[in-house]
Amino acid sequence: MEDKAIQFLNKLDKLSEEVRLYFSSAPEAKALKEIQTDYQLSSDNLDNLIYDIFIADFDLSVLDNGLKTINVPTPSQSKLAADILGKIFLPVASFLKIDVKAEIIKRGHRPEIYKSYEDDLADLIEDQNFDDLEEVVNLHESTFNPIEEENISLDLFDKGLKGVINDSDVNSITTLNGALIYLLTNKPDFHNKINKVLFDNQEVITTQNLTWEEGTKAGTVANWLKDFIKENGSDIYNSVVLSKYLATSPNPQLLSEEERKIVRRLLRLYRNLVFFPESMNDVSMEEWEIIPVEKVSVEKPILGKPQDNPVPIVMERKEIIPAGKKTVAPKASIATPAEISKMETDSEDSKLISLLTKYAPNSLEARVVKEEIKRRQKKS
Amino acid sequence: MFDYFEKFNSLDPKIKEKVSNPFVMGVIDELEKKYGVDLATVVMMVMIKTVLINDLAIHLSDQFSLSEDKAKSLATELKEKVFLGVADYLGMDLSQLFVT
Repeated sequence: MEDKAIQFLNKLDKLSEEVRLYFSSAPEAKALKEIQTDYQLSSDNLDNLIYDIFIADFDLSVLDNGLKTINVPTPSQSKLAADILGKIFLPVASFLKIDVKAEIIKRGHRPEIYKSYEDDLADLIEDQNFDDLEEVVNLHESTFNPIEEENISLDLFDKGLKGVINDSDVNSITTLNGALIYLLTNKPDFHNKINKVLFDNQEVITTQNLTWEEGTKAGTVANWLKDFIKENGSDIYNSVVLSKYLATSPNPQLLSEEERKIVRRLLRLYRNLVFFPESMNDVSMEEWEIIPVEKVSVEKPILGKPQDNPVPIVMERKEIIPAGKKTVAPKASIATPAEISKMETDSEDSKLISLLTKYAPNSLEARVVKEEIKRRQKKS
Repeated sequence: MFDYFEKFNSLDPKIKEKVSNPFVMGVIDELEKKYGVDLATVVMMVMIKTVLINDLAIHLSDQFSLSEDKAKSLATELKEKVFLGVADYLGMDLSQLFVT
């Protein structure tokens, strides 16, 4: 039994934070107590059944064998199995990627009667997230010195930007983003200062020079920004414009794949920073960023709620931005010129609709037109 | 209106057909469902070389805010199932495909 308990703990330790949270929580202890009382089971017997499931890598069929070894009348065994599954495993089913509902139904019972146990875990996760967020914000407020951070940031954008652009450490970039967003939203003159430093940066980020009419120039931050603006103007741009510039414009075309990635990252940084907060219009606040973060799959610090269906756990980055609790500047509205009349919009829409009728409904062309209509609807 | 549409229409019909036949459209349907993104415009952009085929993963990551892993996996599936027939035309690097 002791050996099984150790095996159980070892297994539990390797599971997601949500599962570990549930198996050390009051709601789970309450559920265990209910089962023990309802079936007159000792805690050892019940623990044993649960340990077996863990040890068998959540092969739920081991439960039926286990039930035969304990003193519960046969007619009650399927209900006991359903209770163990519904009260103990259903709340964490989506994190374990097992279909507990099907197992309950297979034993002739209804999974929906266990919904309150799933809700208990959802509440638990919400409380835990709130506590974590509060802790991070408090820590940030007690250690953050705006003047010092401003000087560090300006210095970094003056002499250390190359390192920042090449930095793939998600944690350090996220911390820097938190500080930058705090300064951008709370220090009125910071935006102009940091933009100026960015446009003046003379760090060489590519070995490939740029060729302009006036001659050859080094691949500095400032020169790449100038090149992009020469080609595309100084308005906010989208990812298609960026891809097109990198693929078809004379200077970026000559870059190696690695250096093209560096220039892409610089131009994303330029968009995020110079057009902030408009650049974050379509991004939820917890994902705001100035330095682009490579969205690699890492364990997310914010706990996810259990889902209805067991699906693979999506482990995308979600960071808490400490500045979220501060006064954040209102997001700018989408840059739609006020003077564009509704008539013109309608006329554009009708052109698209008429174009749509020219193509077979499932053709690539028709789908592109539909996507364009969708994009326009989202913008309006 | 949108210039990439015009450019796509001016491509050789035989090339266009390779990525817009019913079989490929079915594949695009499946990928759209699997990844939860709209792909027709991306396919068109790649065909007119506004998006370079070898930059596809990074473009998908930017365009749809996909994780690096997801974007790479979608790019690989698009290359293997949609663009393989036009690999020469696109200058596609085939060395990374069909690696299990």
